[in-house]
Amino acid sequence: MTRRWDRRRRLLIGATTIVLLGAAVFVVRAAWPNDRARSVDASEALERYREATADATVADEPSSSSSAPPVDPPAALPPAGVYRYRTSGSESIDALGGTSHTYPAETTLTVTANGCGVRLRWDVLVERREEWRLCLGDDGIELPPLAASYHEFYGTGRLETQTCDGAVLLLPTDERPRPPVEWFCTLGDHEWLPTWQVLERDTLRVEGRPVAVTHVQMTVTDDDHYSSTPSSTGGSTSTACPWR
Amino acid sequence: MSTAKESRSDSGIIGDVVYHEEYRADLVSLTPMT
Repeated sequence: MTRRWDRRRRLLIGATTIVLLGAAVFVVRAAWPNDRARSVDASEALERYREATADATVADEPSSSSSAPPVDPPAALPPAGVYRYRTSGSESIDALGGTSHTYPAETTLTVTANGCGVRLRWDVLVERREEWRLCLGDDGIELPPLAASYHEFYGTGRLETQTCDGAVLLLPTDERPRPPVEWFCTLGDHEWLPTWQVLERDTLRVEGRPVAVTHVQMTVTDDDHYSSTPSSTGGSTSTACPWR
Repeated sequence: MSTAKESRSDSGIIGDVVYHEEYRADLVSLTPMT
């Protein structure tokens, strides 16, 4: 009788332990933040572009009594629309055990008319995008001092605004290289000091055709919050779209 | 356009984190969709 009772008690303790362990695993998994990396389909970007331009058309449409001549968009700025980019790469952070987002094979850059020029929005993921503007200045195409980066990890997003002390010339109309220009910026809450340099002319192939471009390089070396950020981008003097 | 970026943030939404990003993006077509 006693032996049977002991066996029942051990079974009960074992079953209870298993249930408690299962519940603990369930609670931890439920409470652990989920992280996602969702691509932005070209059709989504196009739909958003059309909605934005439809709104702008209504808002900006001149009255029928206006005698002002139509204004052509600046020739050197990229035509508005959605551009497709063949993409590779990833981002990662080491928080909460670490996670990474692999970028999709195709991403979109949406160009819309904005103020002195155009606004560009590169949708890498739903959780990752860049926004900046380009304006036509006296000496060529300039990068105005306001831009933004969006990052989202574990379901929590953050839009960091970059504010700088003036516009920087990216694509000179004379097509000549320029010495490095230091830019004083704040990114989020931190000081950020990129250096921009207009490099040599080059030829790249798009759709099988050679296209003349100007290389532009941005470099950041900072031992503090943004410890080392070398980067580069290319641009065409005919369209000012980032190329490679 | 391409970049390789490494940054460290001590005021991020999830504390002290190291962020790394590397990508390359090539324009597919000169003609935008509208």
